Amino acid sequence: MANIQIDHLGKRYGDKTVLADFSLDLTDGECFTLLGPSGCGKTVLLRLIAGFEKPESGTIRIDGQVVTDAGDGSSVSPDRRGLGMVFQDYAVWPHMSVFDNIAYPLKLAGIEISARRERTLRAIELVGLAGLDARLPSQLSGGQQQRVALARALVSEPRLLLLDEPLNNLDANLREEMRFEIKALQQKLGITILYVTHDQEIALAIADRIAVMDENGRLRQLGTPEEVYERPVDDFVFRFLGIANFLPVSRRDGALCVGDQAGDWPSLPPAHYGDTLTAGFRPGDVQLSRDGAGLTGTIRRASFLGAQFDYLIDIGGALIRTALPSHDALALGLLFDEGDACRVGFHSVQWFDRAIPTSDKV
Amino acid sequence: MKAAGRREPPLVHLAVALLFLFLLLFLALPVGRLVLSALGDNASGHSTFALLLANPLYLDSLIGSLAASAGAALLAAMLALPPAWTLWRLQWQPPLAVQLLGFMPLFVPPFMLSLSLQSLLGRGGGLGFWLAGRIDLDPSQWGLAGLIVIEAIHYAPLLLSLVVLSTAPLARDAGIAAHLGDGWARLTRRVFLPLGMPGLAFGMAITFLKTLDDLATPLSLGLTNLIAPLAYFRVGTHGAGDLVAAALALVLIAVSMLAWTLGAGRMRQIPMTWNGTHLRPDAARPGQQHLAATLLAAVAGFTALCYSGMVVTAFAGVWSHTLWPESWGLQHFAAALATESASFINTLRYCGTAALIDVVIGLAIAYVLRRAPARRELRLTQGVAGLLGVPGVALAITYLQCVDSGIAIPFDATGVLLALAFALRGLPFALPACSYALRGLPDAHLDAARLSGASTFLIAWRIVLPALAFGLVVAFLISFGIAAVDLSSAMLLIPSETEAPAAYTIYLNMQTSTGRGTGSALAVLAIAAVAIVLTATAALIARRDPGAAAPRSEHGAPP
Repeated sequence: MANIQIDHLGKRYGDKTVLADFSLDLTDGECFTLLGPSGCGKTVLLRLIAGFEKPESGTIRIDGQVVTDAGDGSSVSPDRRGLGMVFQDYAVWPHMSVFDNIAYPLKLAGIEISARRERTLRAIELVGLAGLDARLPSQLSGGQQQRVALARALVSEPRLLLLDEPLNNLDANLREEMRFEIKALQQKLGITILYVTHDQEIALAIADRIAVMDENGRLRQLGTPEEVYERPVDDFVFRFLGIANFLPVSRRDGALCVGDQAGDWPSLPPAHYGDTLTAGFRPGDVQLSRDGAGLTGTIRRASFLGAQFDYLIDIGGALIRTALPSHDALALGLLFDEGDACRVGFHSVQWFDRAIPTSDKV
Repeated sequence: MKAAGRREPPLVHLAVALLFLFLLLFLALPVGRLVLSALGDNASGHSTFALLLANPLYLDSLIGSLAASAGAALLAAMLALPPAWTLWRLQWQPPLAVQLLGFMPLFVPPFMLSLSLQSLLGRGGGLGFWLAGRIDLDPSQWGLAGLIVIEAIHYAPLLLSLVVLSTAPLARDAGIAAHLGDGWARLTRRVFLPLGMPGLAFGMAITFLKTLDDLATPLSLGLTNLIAPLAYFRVGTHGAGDLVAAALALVLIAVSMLAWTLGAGRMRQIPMTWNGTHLRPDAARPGQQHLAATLLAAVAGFTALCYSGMVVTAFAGVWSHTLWPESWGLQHFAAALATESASFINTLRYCGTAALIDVVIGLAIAYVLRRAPARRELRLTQGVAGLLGVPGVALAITYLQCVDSGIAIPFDATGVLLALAFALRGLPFALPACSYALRGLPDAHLDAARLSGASTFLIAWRIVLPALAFGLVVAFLISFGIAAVDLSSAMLLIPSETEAPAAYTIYLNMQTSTGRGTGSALAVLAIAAVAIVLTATAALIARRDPGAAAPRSEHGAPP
C-alpha cells in the first residue's frame, strides 16, 4: 500500500502545456480513478508518477519519499519506485511465454529460482491463467494478454498499481467482467490503484474516489463516484459523466420558465443565481406522463432498447432524452409513438447559472 | 501511435546527426561537386553542356534512353494490367509466396534475360537456329525494341505483384457491388484503376529508372547509343575526370529525378509505407480459384520459358548450331564453383557491408519517422524514396570524380566506394522493412522492461533485439539482393576484375562464347538462391502472424 502526493506538477511538450500546477493526493489502499477526455494529460501524469518522464515543475512523493523533484532535477528510477503498471496495449513481450513474461521482473530483481517460480505461479493463479503458463502471447486472447500484463505488474508485490486504460482494447462483455475482477483484486490485495480512463462507466464502477480532468489538464472535480455524479461542480463534469440533458430556463416574476411554460421543478436554484439559467438532468431523472403537471413536449423518436424505452422529446425546440424502464412504461401505459404529446416532470435537476447550448438535432 | 513531443535520449540525436552526416558526405557533397563540374566550362572555355546539346550523338542517345525507358515502362504495364485485372475480377489474391516471387525482378539483373533469349532465339542454336531463314527472332537484332521488350518482360511480374497488392483488399467488396448490380466496367473505372494506380505508378517508375540506368542489358544487345553506356565509355576512354561524362551523369540524375517526381505524384499511398496488412488471402469460389491459378501459372510459365535459354545453357554440354544441346551435364556448375567462388565472397563483402549500413541507417530513419509529425514523416519518406532517382551509373561517376580530384583517394581501389554506392541505392528498399520491424516494438514494451528493472543493455538484448530481429534480417536481405544485382555501379567502381561481385562475373562470363555455360550456371544458382530466400521469407512471415503481438478483442483463446 502507498500514498502519493503530487504537488504543483507542470509538464510541457514544446509550446504545449499538458499539465499546469497540478496537485493531487492519493491515500493508502484506495482505488483512485483519473477520468478525462483523450489528450487531457492523464497518461502523461501516469508516466510522470512511474518515472518515465520528468516534469518541468513540482514534486511527486510516494509514501513520503520524494521520487521526483523538478526543483533539483532528482528522479528515482522507475524500477525503484515500488510500482506495477499495466499499459494500454498491455506491452506483453511477444517472444516470451506467459511464465517468462511474469517471472522477468523477479529474475531481474535476483530472486532465487524456486521462490521466483512459486511467486510467478501464484501470480498466474491469481489472474486466472493457471495451465496457460507455457503459451506465447500470440496464443492468447486479448483478455488473457491483459491478465498476463496484470500478473506481471503484481508479481513484484508493488505498493502502487498504475493502470493506463487497460480495458480499452477489450470487447464490451469482457471489459465489464474485467473491471469487477480488478476491483476484487484490489480489495483482496489491499493495494493502492491509480486507474486512468476516459470511460466514465469504468471509473464509476471501480473507484473509491474519482478526479475529473478537462481537456486542458486541469482538475475539475475530486470526490467519491456518488459525489461527482450527483453533485457535479459544473456542466463539463456533468456532461462527462453520462448522457446529459440541458433545458434553457429563465426566471420571470419568480417563476422558472422553459420558453413560455412555467415548470414544476423538484429543487430551486440558489438565490444568488441570475435570471438566465440551465437545468441539467439525466435521462433517468425525467418523470414522463401523458397528461397532468409538467412541461409539454412532443415525442420525436421512440426506441425500444429491451430493458427500457428511449424517447427523444422536443420541449419548446430543445431536445432531451429519457430512459423509461420497460416494465414501468407497460404498467403505466406510457408507450408513446412518434408525434405523441407528453408531459415532462423531473425527479432531480442540477442548476447551472448560465445559458448552456442545448441539442437541436434528432 | 505517434510519440511526438517526448524527450528523446541523446543517443537518438547522435544517430540522427550521424545519419545526416552520412548523407551529406556520401551523397549531397559528391553530387553537388558533380553538378558544379558538369555545368562549368571545359579546358577550351566552352560550356560542357552546350557542347553536349550541340552534338547529335548525345542528343540521339538521350532520346533513345528516354524512348527505351518509357517504352519498357509502358509495355510492362500493358503486360501486367490484364492478368492483374483478371485476378481482381476473380476476387482471388495469390498466396504470399507467389506475391513475393513477383518481386524477383528487383533481385535478378535483366541482362540475364537478354542473354537467355539470345541463347534461345539467337542464330547459334535453339529456336533461332531452327527458324533460320524463315524468321529472325534474335533480340540482339531488334535494336531499341529488343531492349524495351526484354526490360518489359523482366519487370512485368513486379508490376503485376504491385497492382495485385494495391487492388486485392477491395476485390471482394467489388464482387459484392457487382452482385448488387454495379457493372464491372464502372467498377474497373471507379475502383480498380484508382486503387491500382499507386502500385502501377511505382512499378512503372522503377522500370523506367532501372532501364535508364541499365548498363549490362544494352551492352549485351550491342546497344551503345544510350546515355548510360555512353557515360560508361567516356569514363573508360577519357578517365574519371571527363567533363562530358559528368554532364551525362547529371542528365541521368535530372531525368531520373523528374521521372520519379512525376511517378510519385501518382502515388497517393507511397509503396514505401505499405505495411503488409494487405497481404491477406481472399476467399474466392473454387472455380474462380482454379481459373486464377491457371492464369498465374501461364504468366509464370511464360516467364520461365523466357529464362529457359539460360537454364538449358547451364546444363548443356555442347550446344552449337543445333536445335537442342548435343550433350548435357553439370560441368558448368562444377566450373562455376571451382573458378568463380571468389566472386561470391566479393559479393558477400560489398553487398554485406552495404546491407549492414542500410540496416543501421534504415533503423535510425525508421525511428525518427515514428517520432515525427505526419507531414515531416511524409517528407522524410519521400526524401529517402527520392534516392531511387540517383542512377547507379551517375553515382559511380560522381564517386570516381571525387577520387580523380583527390578528395576520395583513401577509398580508391578498396571497394569501399562500391559498398557506399550500393548502400545509398538500397536504402529506399531497406527503409520499409526497418519501419515494419520497428512497428513490432511499441514504446510500452521498453517502458515495461524499465519498470521491471532491466538495464539499457538488457533491454536491448532481451527485448529490442528479439522484437526487431526478423524485420532487420528481411531489411538486410532486401538491401543485399538489390546491391547484388546493381551492375551499373559495379561496372564502374570495382577495383579489379578479380575483385568483382558475382553479378559482374556472370556478365563477363556470359559475354564470351566459352564462358557462357559457366555464367549461365552461376546465374541459375543465383536465381535459385533468390527464389529460396523469398519463399522462406514468405513462410516465416506467414508463421509469425504479424498481428500476433497486437491485442485482440475476442473472448476466447485462438486455437
